[in-house]
Amino acid sequence: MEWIDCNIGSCVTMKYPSCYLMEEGARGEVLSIAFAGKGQHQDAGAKMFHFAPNTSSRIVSKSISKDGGRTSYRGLVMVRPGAKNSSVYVSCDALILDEDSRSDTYPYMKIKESETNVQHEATVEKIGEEKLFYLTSRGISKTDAEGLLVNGFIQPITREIPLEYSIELNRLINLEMAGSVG
Amino acid sequence: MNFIDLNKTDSNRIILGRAGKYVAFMHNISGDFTFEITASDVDLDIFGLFNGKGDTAFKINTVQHHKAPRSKSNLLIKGVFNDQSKFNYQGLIKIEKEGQGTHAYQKNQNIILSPDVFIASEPFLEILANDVFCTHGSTTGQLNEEELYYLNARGVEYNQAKELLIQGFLQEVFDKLKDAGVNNLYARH
Repeated sequence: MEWIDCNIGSCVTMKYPSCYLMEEGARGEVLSIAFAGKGQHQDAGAKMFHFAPNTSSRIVSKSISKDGGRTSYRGLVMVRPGAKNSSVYVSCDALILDEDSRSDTYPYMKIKESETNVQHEATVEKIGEEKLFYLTSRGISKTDAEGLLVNGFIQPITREIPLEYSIELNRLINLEMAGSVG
Repeated sequence: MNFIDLNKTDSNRIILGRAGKYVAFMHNISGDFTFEITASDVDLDIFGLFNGKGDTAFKINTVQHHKAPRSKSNLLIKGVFNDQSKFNYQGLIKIEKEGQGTHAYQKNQNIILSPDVFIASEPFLEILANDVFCTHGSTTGQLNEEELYYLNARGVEYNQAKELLIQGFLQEVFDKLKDAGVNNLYARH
């Protein structure tokens, strides 16, 4: 089971695709990208419920906020008693492009089984000034350079989806970056 | 260095209004602690050690609230849980718009030793500034089977090996406390 979730448009988005891992050996994966521009609030994430032994799940979330946009990752991982040998990996990275924007992370983890392994990590940062400076000094405009860096940031997700979609997504992000789509 | 013993403070709101190095420590307690950083160049370390036995339940809420630019806060909470113990950790790093240049970290690591343990770990971030570096991590699991096996293979008895691994796991907190200049903890806890 694999969800790929890209939240780009609209004003307020709240979306949490869920996987119920009921049978032994089941695996759930959610790859999620959120982009919040002006006036947008992307409240996205994923839920994973481990009911059976030997189940594994992975959530990778990348969010970008710009022009006062707000992104929130809200996720739940629940490991029920009996879901032995289950493993959970959650990673959320956020990029904040300017000082008006905001990023939140709300991961919930509820673990009721001892033979399990749960990992979560998150980072929040801004675009590297040096990288931006390097690109602009090579004659790339600031907007284009930001677009490149943002596309690089979400690349771990885009390279896992079919090529056609990933090209489409790259273009969409570039358009969003240039501010021509609202 | 200013040492704050959270087990002995009455107030659950700790205001850090002057630059300097602060170390806060908690051990097997429940409660809400808010660290309000209202000055620049505050360097705050928060350490927590938890040991759940029987049917103890700990509920800890921490807030690292950065209201001033260029301060640093670093939280590390480690727990080992036996029997039917429960642990509920909720941590929040909040960086206000004024908190540019902040470095804030938050880490919660738990070891589960019994099948009846319940752990909820909720490390939250709310970031309103953009020039920050902020990470958090949370891991929950058992002792490493391979490490146990290694020790067994070397003739260390199972229970002793377990003890050694737990000691090593908790040692990180003691080492960091020592680095920060807190020495007399061994005697007290």
